[in-house]
Amino acid sequence: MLDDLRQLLLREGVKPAIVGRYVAELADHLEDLNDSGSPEEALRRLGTPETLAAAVLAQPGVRSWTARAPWAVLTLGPVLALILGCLLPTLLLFLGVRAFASDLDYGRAAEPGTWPYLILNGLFVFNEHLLPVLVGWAAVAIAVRQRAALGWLLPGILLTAILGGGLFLDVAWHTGHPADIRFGIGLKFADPFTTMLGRSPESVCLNLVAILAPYAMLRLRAARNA
Amino acid sequence: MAESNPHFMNGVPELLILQVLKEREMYGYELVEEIRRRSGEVIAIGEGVVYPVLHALERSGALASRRAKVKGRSRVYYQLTPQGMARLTGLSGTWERLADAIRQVMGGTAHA
Repeated sequence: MLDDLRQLLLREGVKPAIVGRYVAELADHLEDLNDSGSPEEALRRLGTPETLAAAVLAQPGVRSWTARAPWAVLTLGPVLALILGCLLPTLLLFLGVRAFASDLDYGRAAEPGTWPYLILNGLFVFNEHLLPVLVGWAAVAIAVRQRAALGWLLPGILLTAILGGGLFLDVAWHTGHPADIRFGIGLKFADPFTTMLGRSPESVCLNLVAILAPYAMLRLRAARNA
Repeated sequence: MAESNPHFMNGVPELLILQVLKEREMYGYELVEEIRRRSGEVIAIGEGVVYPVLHALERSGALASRRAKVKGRSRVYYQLTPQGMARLTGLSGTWERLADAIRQVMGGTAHA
């Protein structure tokens, strides 16, 4: 009965934290009622899932952002997360080099072996191959956890895969003077079948498969359990 | 003339909960049993329905909660905050004015 209530509330868009706490307290209450009477009487006194759900839905502020504005959380959210996730760490590194690498000759900062070079290359690999998939998985996890419909999730995943396959950062600090350092962000795709990984249509397809695979598995598992 | 009050009926569980918690902290089951006992079993708040009201009162700052283990069971105890006390005072006043007005309509005598 409590699991029916949980599913009902999540489908209605109630915040998972509120649902979790409510169901946990109802379980405690049900144990107390069971101590004082029969299980049937305990369930009757507790109320039906519909009555209990209606009591929660009557309260203000219980619905999640995913329920109130799915376009913002599931479509716009992943795109913004991808851009910020790509931009912010690199921008921090860029500012770090300016602030703390004054002992490094700017001509040497981009040479292999220096710490800015190592971190920057790590960030490039992370941004190209991991970040789009992690952002996509986060969107999928939110949608599955809150029983959201596919309508707003699919465009979000598609945009994440496309942007993740072509987003690039342009960082240069080798021109010899701090004022000449360049930092930018853009979208660029290589010609198809000219590169296996990174900024190519193939990369978009790989992102899409990597993001959708766990979603498909979770949906299949949920369908089997239903 | 008294203001019309949309909480006339909807605010009753809230009023009773705040009033009972004024004396001491309680957990949900205990609270429901106490209201049932004090009202001579006339008022029986829907047992599961009490929690959304408690949570809403907590979110608004009228109640505070703490989790405790009692006899091996996890309990969430609720207690009134100063903000909740002020809310109880307001709700009690409104309720008494409405009760007086109803008594007058029914032909009884009202308080001065």
